[in-house]
Amino acid sequence: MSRSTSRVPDLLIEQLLLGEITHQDERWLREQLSSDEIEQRLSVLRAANREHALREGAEDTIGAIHARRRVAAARADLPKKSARSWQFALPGVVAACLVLFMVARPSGEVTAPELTAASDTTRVKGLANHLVLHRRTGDDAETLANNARAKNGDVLQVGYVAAKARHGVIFSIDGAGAVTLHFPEQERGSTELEQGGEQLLAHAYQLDDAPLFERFFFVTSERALDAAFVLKEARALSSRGEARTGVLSLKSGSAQLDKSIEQQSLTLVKE
Amino acid sequence: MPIDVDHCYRRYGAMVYRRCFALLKDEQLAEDVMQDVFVKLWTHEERLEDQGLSSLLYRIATRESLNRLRSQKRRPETALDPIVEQLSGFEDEEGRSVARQVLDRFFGGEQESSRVIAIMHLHDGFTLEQVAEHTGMSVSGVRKRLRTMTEKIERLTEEATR
Repeated sequence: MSRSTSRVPDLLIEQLLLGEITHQDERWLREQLSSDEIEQRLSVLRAANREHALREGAEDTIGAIHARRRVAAARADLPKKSARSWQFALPGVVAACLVLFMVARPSGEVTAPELTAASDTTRVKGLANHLVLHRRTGDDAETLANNARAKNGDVLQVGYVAAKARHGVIFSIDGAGAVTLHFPEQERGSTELEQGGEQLLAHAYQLDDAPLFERFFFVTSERALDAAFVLKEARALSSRGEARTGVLSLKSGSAQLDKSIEQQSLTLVKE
Repeated sequence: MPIDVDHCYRRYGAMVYRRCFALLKDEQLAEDVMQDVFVKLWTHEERLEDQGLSSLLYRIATRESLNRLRSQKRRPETALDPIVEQLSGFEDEEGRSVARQVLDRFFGGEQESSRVIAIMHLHDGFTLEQVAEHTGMSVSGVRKRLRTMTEKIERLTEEATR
C-alpha cells in the first residue's frame, strides 16, 4: 500500500541514488512507497542523469562556473576565507549575561514585582540557572543582554546554564502572541537539562517579522516538567496580553507542589 | 575544506538542474541558475561537513530559483501557483489569477529562508521534521514560520477577493 508518489519529496529519491539518504528518511520513504515504485523513480533518475551527461558538456559548464565565480569575487572583493566557522562565544565567566530572575512562592505562583515595562530589574547571577542568547554576526557571535535590540532575520542560538536545576523548558512569545517551544523539541520530549556549563540547543532560531519583541522564558525545576502544561500557561499569558512583562502562573497541575520551580526570561526588542 | 568544483558538478549537477527546472519550468533559466548554485557553494566552504552536499545544494538551488522567479517581470505559470491554489481553494482561471497576485505579494515580502521552507513543505511534500532536518532549523521554528505564512496568505487572498 502506498501514498501518492507525487507527494514524496524528489530530494529523498535523489539522496537514495546518491547514497546520502539518512536512515530515518529512508525508513520514512519505504513506508510511503513500495519497492517497485522506488525502483521506478530511481530508474527515471538514472536515465535523466545519462541524458544530462550527454546534453551538457561537463567541461564547458565547469569552466563557466569558474568564470562566474571569478566575476563574483571581483565584484564583491571577497576576502580570503578564515578557518573560523560559526562558533558561539562560550564565555568562561557565565555572569557576562544579564538575566531576570523570579522566585517561586510556596503557592507555586511565581511573582516578579520588579518586572514592569518601565523598570526591568536585573541581577547578575554567577552560577545560577539562566538563559543565554547569541546572535550571529558575520563569522562571529555576540551575546545578547536583556532588552537587546533585534530584528527580523536575525539568527539566534539559544542556550542555557543549568547550575542547579535538573529539568527545564525553554519557549518564547513574540509580539504577535505566538508561542514557540525551543526545548524540548517536542512537547512530550524529555525536559532533562545537561549540566556542566553553557549548553546550546541543537538548532538555530531565526527571528521573523513579529512586531515589538520576542521574550524567551526558561522554566526550571528539580523535577521533570510537563512541557505541554508550561506551554498551555504560556498561551494563556499571551492571550491575556501579558506576554511582554507578565509571569507564568504555574499553580495548578504537577507544578503546584513543586517548590523548586523557577522561571526567568530574556527579552529582545524588535526594531 | 576547499571545494572541488569538478567533482561536485559531476556528482550533483544533474540533481541541481532538475531542482531548478522543477521550479522555473524553463531549460535555459534552469541551466543559468544551476551554475549560480555552484558558485554560491563557495560561500559555504568553511561550513561544509563530511556528509554529502545534496541537502545543501538542494536548498541553495531552491533559494536561487525562487529569487530568480521574484526578479522575473513577466512570470509564466510555475510550479509555485498550486501552493496558493491549495491554500486559497481557487480552482477556476479567475481564482488562479488571484492566486498568482497573492503569490507575488506574499513571496515578495518574505525572507529567503521562509520561501524555501514554504516550498519544501507545501510543494515538495517534506514533513515539518524533514524540513527542519534539511534546513538546520528547529521544528518549532519551522512550524511557527509556516503558521505565520499560512495566515498571511489567507489574509492576502481575502484582500484580493474583496
